[in-house]
Amino acid sequence: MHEHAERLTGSLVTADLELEREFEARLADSSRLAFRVAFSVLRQREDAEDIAQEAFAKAYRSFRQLRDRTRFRAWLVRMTWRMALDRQRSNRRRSTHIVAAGIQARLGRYEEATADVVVARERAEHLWNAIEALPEKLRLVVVLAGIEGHDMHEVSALLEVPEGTVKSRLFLARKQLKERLSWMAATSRE
Amino acid sequence: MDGSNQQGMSDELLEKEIEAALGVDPSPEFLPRLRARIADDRTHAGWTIGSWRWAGAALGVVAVTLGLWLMRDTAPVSPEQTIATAPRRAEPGAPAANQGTPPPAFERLPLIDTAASAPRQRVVESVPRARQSAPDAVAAPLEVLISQDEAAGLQRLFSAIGDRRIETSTLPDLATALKPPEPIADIVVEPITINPLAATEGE
Repeated sequence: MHEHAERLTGSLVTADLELEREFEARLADSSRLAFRVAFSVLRQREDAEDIAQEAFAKAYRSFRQLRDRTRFRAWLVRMTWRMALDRQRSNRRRSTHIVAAGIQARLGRYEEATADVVVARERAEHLWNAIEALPEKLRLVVVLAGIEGHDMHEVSALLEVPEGTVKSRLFLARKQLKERLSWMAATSRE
Repeated sequence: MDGSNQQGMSDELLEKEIEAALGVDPSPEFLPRLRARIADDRTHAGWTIGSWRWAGAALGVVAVTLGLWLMRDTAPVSPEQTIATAPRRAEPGAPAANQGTPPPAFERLPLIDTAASAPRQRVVESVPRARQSAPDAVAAPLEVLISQDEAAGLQRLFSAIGDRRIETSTLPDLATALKPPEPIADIVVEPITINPLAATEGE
């Protein structure tokens, strides 16, 4: 009886350790993805790190209940996206839209503000604005396709939608972005 | 927007721009902070479970204690029990088989002992005293507390008061009547002085 109890306790401890190890592997594998997803919404490093941390903490608490662990990344991405949107809304309630001067400080205050850097920042700002103006579904597809070189298959796995849907959303998103950013092509040709 | 502008922005260029915009890495402290946060969560979760266990155990102990205390305190004590707590005396002709089992300690008894052999009276016991003497009552049967004639007298008195034949205001004040006797003043013994005897003549 005592031996049986010891064996049971031992197996529980082993299971916990395995779970911890598995989560650690997921953390190392997906932390950057979570950060970038959050950053694509918030465009502020500190906020994005905060949200990524919160998302991981939440994931940790529910990791045991996650039946299909292969879906962890998809789960994490969606959770991070939602949380980042919530944070963005609360940030907007707290303050008015951040002006260009503020953006410069956020994007890289340690770099020298040469003319080229200023132009690059301005282009990035326009790109972000164009991405932000996209409908949410298209926006998420564009972001995920632009992160870590994800292909259609990977994006469809992350969003758990068919590849065809990803393809059409990506097409629509790119079309709208091109329309909004056409002036950038002209300036880059100059 | 015109078509020439749309053609101008190629997919490749757009992807490059997007990848460049999204290619931001977290700070070097991000991963250690994240690990610390998870470790903190782990500790916190453990503490929470432990504290709930402790709180539950403490609550259980408190509930049991409270229950026992209430059970002890809510046991009804009727006025009759305050007067007589003695078990019924066994009938002289009762079968011998019943003698082995002890009589119930707090069995309700009539005020009057019907047995003719009730020889004497006893002062009514107070409630706490009655509770305290419960184990003793099991061990040794108590005596009858009020004699027959005294009980009859009391009944007559109560019925007379109830019928308003006796004006209660004329009755002596119980508080005064039951007032303990005034303490006896200390006896002061005067010091005895013994005068030396005078020498008598002839000695």
